Amino acid sequence: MDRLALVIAAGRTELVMLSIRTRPADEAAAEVETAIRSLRLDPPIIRA
Amino acid sequence: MQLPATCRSAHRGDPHTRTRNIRVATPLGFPGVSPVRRHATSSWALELPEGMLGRAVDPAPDSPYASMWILRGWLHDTAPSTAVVTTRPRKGVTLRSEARRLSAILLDGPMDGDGIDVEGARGARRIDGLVDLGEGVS
Repeated sequence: MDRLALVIAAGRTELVMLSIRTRPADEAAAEVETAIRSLRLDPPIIRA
Repeated sequence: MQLPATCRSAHRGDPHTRTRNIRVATPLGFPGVSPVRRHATSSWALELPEGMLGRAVDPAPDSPYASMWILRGWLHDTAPSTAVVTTRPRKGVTLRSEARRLSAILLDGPMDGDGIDVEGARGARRIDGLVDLGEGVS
């Protein structure tokens, strides 16, 4: 049994869907939260 | 930097879309979380622990998605994980109905999810649940 976190976000012209699947593990929960909170849509382009 | 062909062509209709993979030293929010790496396209950006590796892939010809990014690895060095980011053009479907469609695979069945804040989004919903993908699929 895996734990699945899904985020559906509407951008300017696109729908962006993020799924993160992990084996149930409490220690991974913080990293799942960190990843979800880091999601940005239409981010500014960083030019090298 | 010259990107692999799969990355260059991963975003249909926009061959010039650039995918980026930038290491970020400081994770957001939680203490004790692994160093993260930033993955981004022109549509989205996401930070994942360095133990998660992946790239853009071409969606299947019959896929409803315009682009797909798959990463696999470990969270917290202990939990095998898969992260998938997909995009498709907006077509007037509500976030709730899309949430119900995507959550149909969860053990608890389809659900609307909860609204969350996502920077740059015109609206977003989140769903959490358990899924059983069966023996031999990981």
